[in-house]
Amino acid sequence: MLHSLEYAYPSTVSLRICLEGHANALALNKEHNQIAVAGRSLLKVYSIDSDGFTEVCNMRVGKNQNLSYSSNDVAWSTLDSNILATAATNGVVSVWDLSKFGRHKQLLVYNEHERTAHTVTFHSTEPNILISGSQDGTIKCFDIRSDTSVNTYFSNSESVRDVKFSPHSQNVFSAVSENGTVQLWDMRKWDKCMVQFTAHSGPIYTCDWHPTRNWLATGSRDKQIKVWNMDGRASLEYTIHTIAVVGRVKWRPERTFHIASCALVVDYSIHVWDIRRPYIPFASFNEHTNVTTDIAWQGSDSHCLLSTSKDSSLYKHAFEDATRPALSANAQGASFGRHGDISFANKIKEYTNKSSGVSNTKTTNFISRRKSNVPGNMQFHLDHSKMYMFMLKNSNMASGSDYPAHDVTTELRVHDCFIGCAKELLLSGKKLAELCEHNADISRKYGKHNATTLWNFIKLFYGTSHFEPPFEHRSSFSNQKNPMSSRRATQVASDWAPHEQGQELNGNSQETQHEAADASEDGDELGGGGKQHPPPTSSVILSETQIISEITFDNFELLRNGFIYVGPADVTKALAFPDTALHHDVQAARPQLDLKASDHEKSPPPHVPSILKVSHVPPIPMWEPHQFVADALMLQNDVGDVQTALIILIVLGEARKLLPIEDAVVEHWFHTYVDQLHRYELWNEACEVINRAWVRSVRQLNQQSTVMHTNCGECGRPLGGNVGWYCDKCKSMQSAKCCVCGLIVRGVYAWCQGCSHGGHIEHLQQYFAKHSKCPKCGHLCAFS
Amino acid sequence: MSYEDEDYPVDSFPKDFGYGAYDQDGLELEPNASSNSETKPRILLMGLRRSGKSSIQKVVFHKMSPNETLFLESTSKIVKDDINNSSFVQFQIWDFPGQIDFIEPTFDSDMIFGGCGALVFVIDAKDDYNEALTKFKNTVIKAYKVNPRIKFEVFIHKVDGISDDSKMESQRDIHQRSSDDLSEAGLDQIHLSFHLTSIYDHSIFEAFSKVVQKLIPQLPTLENLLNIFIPNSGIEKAFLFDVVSKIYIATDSSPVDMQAYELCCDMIDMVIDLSSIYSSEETAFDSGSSSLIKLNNNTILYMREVNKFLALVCILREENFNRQGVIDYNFICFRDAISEVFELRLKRQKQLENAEQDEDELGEDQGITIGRLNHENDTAVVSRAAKMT
Repeated sequence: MLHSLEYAYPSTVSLRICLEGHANALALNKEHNQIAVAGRSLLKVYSIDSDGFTEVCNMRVGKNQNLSYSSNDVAWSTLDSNILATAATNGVVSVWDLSKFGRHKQLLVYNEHERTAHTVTFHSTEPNILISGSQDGTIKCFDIRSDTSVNTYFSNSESVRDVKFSPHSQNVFSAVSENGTVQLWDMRKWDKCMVQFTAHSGPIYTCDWHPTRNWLATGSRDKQIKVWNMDGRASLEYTIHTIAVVGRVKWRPERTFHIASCALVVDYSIHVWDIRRPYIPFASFNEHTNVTTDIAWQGSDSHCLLSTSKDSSLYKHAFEDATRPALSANAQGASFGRHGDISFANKIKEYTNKSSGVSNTKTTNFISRRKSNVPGNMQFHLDHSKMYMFMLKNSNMASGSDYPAHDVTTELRVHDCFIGCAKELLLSGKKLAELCEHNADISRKYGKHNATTLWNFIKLFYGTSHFEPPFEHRSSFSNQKNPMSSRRATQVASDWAPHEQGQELNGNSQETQHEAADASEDGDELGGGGKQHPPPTSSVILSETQIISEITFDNFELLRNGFIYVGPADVTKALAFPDTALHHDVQAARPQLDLKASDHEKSPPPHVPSILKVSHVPPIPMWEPHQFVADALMLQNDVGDVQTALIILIVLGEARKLLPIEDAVVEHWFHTYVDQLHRYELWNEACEVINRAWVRSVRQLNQQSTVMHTNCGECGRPLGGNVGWYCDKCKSMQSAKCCVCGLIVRGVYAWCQGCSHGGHIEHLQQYFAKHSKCPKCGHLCAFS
Repeated sequence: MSYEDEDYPVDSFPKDFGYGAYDQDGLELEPNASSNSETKPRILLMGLRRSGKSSIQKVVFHKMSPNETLFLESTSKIVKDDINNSSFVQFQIWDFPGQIDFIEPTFDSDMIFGGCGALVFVIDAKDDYNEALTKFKNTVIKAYKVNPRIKFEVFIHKVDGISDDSKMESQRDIHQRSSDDLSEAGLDQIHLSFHLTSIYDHSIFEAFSKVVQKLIPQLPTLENLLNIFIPNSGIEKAFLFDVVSKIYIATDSSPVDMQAYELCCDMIDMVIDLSSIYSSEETAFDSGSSSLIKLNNNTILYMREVNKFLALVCILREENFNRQGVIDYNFICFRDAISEVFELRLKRQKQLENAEQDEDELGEDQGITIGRLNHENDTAVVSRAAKMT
C-alpha cells in the first residue's frame, strides 16, 4: 500500500546501469523491493527506492572471466530472498546465495546442458526446486540440495526457449520451443509430456501463465501473442497481432485482460495490450532507445513496470506516464462497397445534436439503410459507436428497382451474353460494312458497348476499300530517313502530284484529312490512346531542302537546344508549319537560305517569304489505322473478350493481313475461342469458326479425332484390318463395291450406318430419289 | 537395378543447369564417396511426385531462382544427385516416383538408409496429403529398422500459397496423424521434426539449416565458440555459413531473426557474384575473401572467410566497428579454433582407421571424444580473446 501511495504521483524513474554490455534479464525478489539484473558481463542486485535504484550487490567483481557468469536469464527464489539462479550461454546453471561473501556467493554450478541454457525458473512453492530449459532441447530439474540434476525432460525439439511453472497446479510446468510447439509437463513424469500442441508457425520465444485464470500466453517470431485456455484440450482464446517479433510477455497483475509485451527487434517500446482489442496497444512505454530485453511487473502493483534494454538502462515505468495509442487512434472509419455503397462508423459524441446533424446531411444524398448502435460495454471499447451503411440512390426509379437484381445475375448475364453473341454474330455472307453494322447491333443488344464501338470503328475504316493504294505508298517510302534517297523521294512525290489538284488545295486537303482523323479518334472512346501515338507512317514527304530549311528557319530554337530534326516528317510538325516548309524549291532556296540564315540570326522569329516556287506537293496523308486496330483487338482480348477480337479478325477477311498481329497470337485466340465455345457446347458455332480459320493448326482441329467405325455388309463384323474394305471373317470385298452398280468404289463411299451397305454417292442419290429401301437388303435407309 | 535403366525415355531436368559441378555417379562408387567424406552429413530427400523435391534441391544447392523451378520437368525415375564437391554439406537426393515401391527387393535399403544421417520427407501442403502420409509412414518404419539413428524431418512444403491459419492447421494435422500412425506401428520413440517451408522465401534455407545442424556433432562447440566470439567483439549476431548453399552451420544462441538471416544470405550471394566477375579463375571464394556492408540504420554486415566451405557473417552496430582490430583478432582466434575442431576430428578418424576399427563404432565414438576435447579448446580461445577486449 505504501508503494501505491508513493507511485501514485511520481513519474517514471530511470537509472542507467553498467557501462559495458547490457542486461539480458531481470528478476524481482519475493518482497518486490530488490531487483536482480543479469547480462553477459553483469550480475547485480539493486534495491528499488522511491527515487531510484541503489546497488546492493555486485557478483561480477574482480577479473573473473568465467563463461558461467555471462547469463541469459536470472530467477529469484520465490521463498528465499537470498537465493538466485542464472542460466549461462555455455549451458551452466548457477545458484547464488547473497548471504555469502566473495567467491562463495556462487553456491552451486550445474554444468549439465550441452548447449546454451535459455531460461531458468524456481518452483513457486518448493523452495529447493528449479528448472532450466536449453538449446539442446532438454529441460532439467535441479534440487539445490543436490549437486546434479534430479530429472531431465527431453522435449524432442531443437531448443527450449522458455519454461514456466503453472500457478494453478503444483507440478505442472509449460515449455515452449523453437519448432512452435507448447508442451505441458508433469514434474513427476519425466518420460512423456502431458500435453503437446503446435501453437505458432514460427519459433516461440516466451510464455507466461495468467495469475488467476488457467490461461497461457505465448509470444512468437510470427509476431503474434496467443492466449490459450489450458482447461482440458488447449484452445485458442485470443490472438494479438504485433508489429515485431515478440520477445517477452507478462500478464499485468490485477487486470484480467491486460498483458505486457516487448519486441525482440525493430520495436523498442513496451506495449500493454488489452487482449480483447488485438490490433492497438492499450498503453505503450517508449523510453528505451534500443530493444527491450526483459520486463516485469513490480509484484502485484499493476502501476509499476520494470524493464531492461540493450541500451544498458534499467527503467521503472509508472503506468500514469504511458502513452495511450488507443486514445489517439482515429475513431471514425469509412469504407466503400463493391457497388458504391459506403459504410461509416463513428464514435457517439456527447453532443448528440451535432452528430445527428452530420448524419442528416449525409443521408440527403444516400438512402440510409441501417443504423445500429453497438453497445460499448460489451467489449473493450471506451465509447459508444454507431455504424451506418449507405446505399447509392438511383435517379431512375425503374433502374433502381432493377439494380439489386442485376447484382445477382451479373454472372449469369456474362454467360448469356457470350452465348448470344456466339450465336448471333455474323462471320460472313454480307458486305463488310453490313456485317459490322449487324454485329455492332448485336453487341449493343448484349450490353457490350466497347465491342459496339469497335465494330463501328471497323466499319468506318475498312467498310470502304480505299486502303490498297496507301499500302503501296508506304512501302515505297520506307527509306525516308536517308537524306540521299529523299531526293528520289521527291521525284516520286512529284510523279504523284498530278492526281492532286494544286498546292493550296493540297495543303487544305491534308489538313482536313488530319482533322478528320483526329475527329474520328476523338469520337471514339477507345481512340484516347491513339492520340498519344501519332500514326506511324505519314505521307508527308521531305526533300533535302525541306530538311535544311526546316532546320535553318523553323526549327532554329530546336537547333539551339542541340536538337536537330531529321527524321521522317512528324504529322504534328508538318501541320505546325504548313506553308513554310513545303514551299521551297531547290534552286531558289539555296542562296536564299544562307541569306535568310544570316538574317535570322539577328531576328530569330522566322518569316518565310511566300514568293518561292513550289516543286512538289505532298500526297494525301493516309492515316492507316492498322496498328491502332491491332492494339484495340489486343486490348479487347486482354480484358477477356477474345470473342469480339477474333470475330472482327474473321470478318475483316483479307484486310486482316494489314493488321500487325502475330500469327501465334491469332492462333492462340482461335484455340481459346473454340475452347470456350466447346465449353458452352456450341459445337456448330465452334465448327463454323474452325472452318473460317486461316491458321493451319486450327483448321486441322476438325479433321482430328473423328473415328468412324465400319462393319462388313455381309456378316456384320467390324472391319478392322489393315485394309478398310476387306472383311477378315467372310473373306469378301463386298464392302468395297457399290451396291447399286456393283463396281468398286474409288473416292467417296456413301454408307448406311443401319445396314452397312453403300456405294457411289451419285448412284445412291439417284436410287434413293425413287426408292426408300436399301438396294441390297431392304433396310429402310434414311438418305440425307 | 531397374531405376538406373538409362533407356528410360523420359529424362529428368537437364543436368548442366545448375552452378555447382554435378556428379551423378552410380551406386558402385558409393562406398568410396562415403568413406572419404565421412565428416560431412548426408541427407536423403524423399516425397511424393510433384511435392517439390527437385525444386528444393535446385534452389538451395544450385542457386536457381524460385520462379524458374516452374519449368522443371517432373522427375519420373529415381534420380540420385550428389552435392559433395563444393559444399560443406554432403547432400544426396533420391527422388522417389510414386509408382516405384521402394520395398521391392532390388531396393538396397541397407545401403541407402545405413549411411544416411537425416531423411527429409517433403509433403505438399496444398495437396491432399493422405497418400503422402501413408508413404511417409512406410518409409519411416523401413528406415528406422535399418538405421535407428536416422533423423526424420518433415517439410510441409509450398506454404507460400496458404494463409497463416491453414498453415498452422495443416502442420497440426500432419503432426497428429503421423504421430498416431507411428504409435500404431509401435514406434513411439521416433521423433519427427516439422518445418513449414517455401522456396519463395528463406524458410527452406532455415529448415535445411536446422536439419544440417542436427547432423554436426561439433555443433555445441561451434555454437559456444560463437557465443564467446560475439560479445567479446561487440557483435549482435553471427552466422557460420556454408557458402554454396547459404545454409547456416551454426549461429549463436540468440534468436534468429528472419530478416537478418535473409540479409546475410543476400550478402553472400552478392560477394560470390561480384568476386566471380573479377577473380581470375574458379576461386570466387578464397582465403582473402571478406566484405563489409554499411547499412543506413547504423548497422554493419561483416563477412570473413573461414575455410573453403565456410564463411562467417556478422551483424554489428556501427559504433562497435571502431574496434575492427579487436574484431579481426578475435576472428582469427575463432577461425583457428574452428580449424582445430575439424582437424581433431580428422586426426581422430585417421587414427581409428589405422586401428582398423569397425565403421559403426566410429561415428559415435568421434562425437563424444571431440566434444570433450573442445571444451578445453573453448577456454583457450576465451583467454586469448579476452585479452583484447
